[in-house]
Amino acid sequence: MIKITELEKVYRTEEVETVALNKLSIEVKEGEFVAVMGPSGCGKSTLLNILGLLDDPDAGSFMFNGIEVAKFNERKRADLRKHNIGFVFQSFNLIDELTVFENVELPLIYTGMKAPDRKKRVEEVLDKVQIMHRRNHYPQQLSGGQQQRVAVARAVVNKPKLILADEPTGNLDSHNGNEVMELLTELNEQGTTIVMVTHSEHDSRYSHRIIRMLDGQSVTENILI
Amino acid sequence: MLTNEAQDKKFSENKGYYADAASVDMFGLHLIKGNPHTALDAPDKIILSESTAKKYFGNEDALGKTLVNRSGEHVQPFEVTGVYKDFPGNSHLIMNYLVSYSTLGKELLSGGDSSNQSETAWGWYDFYVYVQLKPGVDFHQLESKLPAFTNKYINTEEWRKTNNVRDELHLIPLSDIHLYSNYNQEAEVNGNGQAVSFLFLIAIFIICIAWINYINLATARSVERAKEVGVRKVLGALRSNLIRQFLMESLVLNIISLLLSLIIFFLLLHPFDGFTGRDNYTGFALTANYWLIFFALFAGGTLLSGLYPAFVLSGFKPVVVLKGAFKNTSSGLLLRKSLIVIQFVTSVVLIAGTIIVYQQVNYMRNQSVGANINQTLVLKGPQTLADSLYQSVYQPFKTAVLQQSSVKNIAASTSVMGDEIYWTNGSKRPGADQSAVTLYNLGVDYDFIPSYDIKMAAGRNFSPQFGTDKKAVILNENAAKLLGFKDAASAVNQKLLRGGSDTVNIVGVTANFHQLGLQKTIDPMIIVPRPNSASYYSIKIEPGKEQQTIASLKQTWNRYFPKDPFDYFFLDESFGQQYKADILFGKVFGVFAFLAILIACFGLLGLSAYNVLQRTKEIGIRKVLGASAQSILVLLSRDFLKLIFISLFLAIPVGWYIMTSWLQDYAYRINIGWWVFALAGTVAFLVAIVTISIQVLKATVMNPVKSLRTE
Ligand SMILES: Nc1ncnc2c1ncn2[C@@H]1O[C@H](COP(=O)(O)OP(=O)(O)OP(=O)(O)O)[C@@H](O)[C@H]1O
Ligand SMILES: [Mg+2]
Repeated sequence: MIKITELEKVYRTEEVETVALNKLSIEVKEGEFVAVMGPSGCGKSTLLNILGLLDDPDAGSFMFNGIEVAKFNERKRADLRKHNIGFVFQSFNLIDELTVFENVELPLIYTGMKAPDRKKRVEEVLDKVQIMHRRNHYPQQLSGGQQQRVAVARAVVNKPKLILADEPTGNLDSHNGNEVMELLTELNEQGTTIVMVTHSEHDSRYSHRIIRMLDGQSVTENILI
Repeated sequence: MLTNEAQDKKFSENKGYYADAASVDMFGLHLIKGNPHTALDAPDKIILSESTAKKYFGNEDALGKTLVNRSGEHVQPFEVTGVYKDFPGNSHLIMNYLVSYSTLGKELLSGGDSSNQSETAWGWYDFYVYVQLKPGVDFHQLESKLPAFTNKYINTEEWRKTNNVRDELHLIPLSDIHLYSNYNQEAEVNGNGQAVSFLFLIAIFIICIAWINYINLATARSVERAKEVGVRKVLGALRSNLIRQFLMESLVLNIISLLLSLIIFFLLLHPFDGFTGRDNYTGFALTANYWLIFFALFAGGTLLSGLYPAFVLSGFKPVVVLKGAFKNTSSGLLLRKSLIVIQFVTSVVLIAGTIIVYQQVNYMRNQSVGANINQTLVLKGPQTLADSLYQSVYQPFKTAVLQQSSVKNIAASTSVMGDEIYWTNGSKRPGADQSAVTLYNLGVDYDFIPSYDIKMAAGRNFSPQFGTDKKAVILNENAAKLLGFKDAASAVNQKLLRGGSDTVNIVGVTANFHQLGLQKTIDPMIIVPRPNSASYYSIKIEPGKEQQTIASLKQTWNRYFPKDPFDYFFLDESFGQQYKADILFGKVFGVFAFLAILIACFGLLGLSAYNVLQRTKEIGIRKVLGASAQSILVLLSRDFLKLIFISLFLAIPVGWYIMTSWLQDYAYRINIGWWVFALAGTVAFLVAIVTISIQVLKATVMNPVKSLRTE
């Protein structure tokens, strides 16, 4: 599903150049659950942003479902993104001004789904993450675990083929963290490909394969199943 | 007209007065030369302003020299007994020279009038009487005694019978004359007090907009500063400390802007004089009152604009703030929204006002006067010719003028369009059971009406062929109506009792024409035959040949009227002068409108920038979820544009009301079209959109990864 070869990303500020990804090559198959690990600053988030078409690489190739997307323009990337990819962030990134329901509904609005269909779909997903009873609450009124479940719901609401999660349990206690991990596993079992960045060995055990990174390069891969 | 005969320097003058000896002291005339106590104490003495003295005598000492006033055959020499410093340009009374008042009595006596009228007559309206009150006296008190006085001395039984009027005396404070006096025969064209209040109001509006901006931006930033407040409070700051801190901040800002504004003020003083077409008004001192108001405004503004944000900011509870759950309150949001609305209502009203003022001025300038005043050169008639000789000089002059190919015709009259008519009397229809009505007299020769293309609504023009035309008059339509004639035609060949005793025959009625600008109603006029009128000669000339015609006219003039100055003006220009004040008002109004919308836009820019900043994260999330650039644009501008729409709708009634009342001053005025507000609204709307877009576009194209990183 994803095949990147010799991918490079360099951040330039006035004083310094930071090589965030250094000729990185990775492949992720459809239906896989991959964990990305490595020390802070090694380029995990950068990788995820590029995989999620939020950022473009400086060099290298990025094949998404057999199409070269490294040179896609903003518009094409946005289009590909909203139909195929869902995001879960460490800091949830819910919109404070919108209710739980409205937050989850947002991706469907942007893909142009009709209101009645949206309602049905959102309720289904909220039910699945067991947050239906809080549908009219605002994010600030929920616990961290609940907020992350809403974020997961939002990520899967338009049935993406790929979910990218950047330390989804980083802000959660172990109980809430496990809940989120089980949710992701369940989604993966239903066919969704997942790439997850994590610092937790515990969480990485939910995945099929661990990619370990150092200084913008992949160093080892552990196959768990 | 005065002449320095020794050097043959002659000028026609109209800014000189007879003045009694006390006026030197009362007006504080500063005599550079001469003795202030004796300068005007006897007949035939004249004192000159510095510039007048220079005009007649150049650099010579004028003191003791002679100036001659000629009127008909009458020659009157004056001895120059003083020279005084010119009055400042902003004086309500321009006096180029003063002749001792006793001269007038002497003149009347030598003219055969032994009744000492200059000291006793009540019926002469041509005098300005200045009364200097003792300090602390309320002039209303004196004024309240005047009716009894007038009834005793003026409004006698006999007076009322012969004149059909009742006289009243009124006082007006000298400082009110320029802006608020509105009598006939004002010494100078007065300012318009209403326009001044109007501009003052606009200035207040503008400064309010600026204060509003400050309050708006300060409270908008409160989210940002909430953390600071929280930390300070945790560290032990009291609320009063914080209020003081925020007030100080606003004071510093205000002082900086005060200094900037003073610098800009002095830099702009000269250009502004140029802009308003005044020469050098910078000399006058600003009064203590002015500075008092200025600093009161400054202090008030600082306090008002600083206080609200200070209270809001200092009131934050540290626990709430530091937990990070702090949001702008909805009441603060509502306040900010209403303040934006007020700003834009003001801006739209000012833009619409500018358009309306311009429209009105254009309307007045382009509307037909009802007489053809184009291509008309007006000469001021000779003053030195005896009545008995007049026709024998004028007729050959006229023939000579008409011989020039560029001259179409020439007509003589007592006044021309644009001239306020002071020659009035009461007239009524004989036998009619009505009181006399006041008609405004215009004396003309036979050529005046055809030369000006004035239309006859009925009847005919005067004609030398009718021997009876000495007793003929022509009315304008308004006069005919006022006298109760059913229509113009039915007035023709009717008799009229003019001035109480003179029975005249109405031979024609002209269509109404504008003697004065379109601000004024058309007065009822009575046109009387005066072939000897020598106030003005109106000469119609071919277009494009103005300069050569003037040159040759001057030659002709000097041949026939060697003792009189050749003094001319173009009628369309002098008529247009009546609109000068309105044009100026329009200009200043426009500048203010521009300032207002500029400042309002600064505010909008700040607020939208702040809004975008606050929503950066939200925008990022939305973009990650697939929002298009357009949808972000709409999201960020929608709230502002809604407010601006509301402003537009509020601006219509407000602007309509204000401008309608402004237009009331104009007898002939435009109707305010709905499109004016549509246009003003569109302008404000577009400017607002551009302002908002600057910020919003930045946010729209921002890489979402960055905005999420800022978390
Ligand atoms: N916008 C940016 N500008 C400059 N340098 C950047 C930028 N974003 C990331 N970097 C640098 O690129 C490198 C990789 O950053 P990245 O965020 O991918 O690390 P990470 O592996 O996700 O770290 P962490 O585990 O702490 O989240 C770091 O050295 C970082 O400082
Ligand atoms: Mg990271």
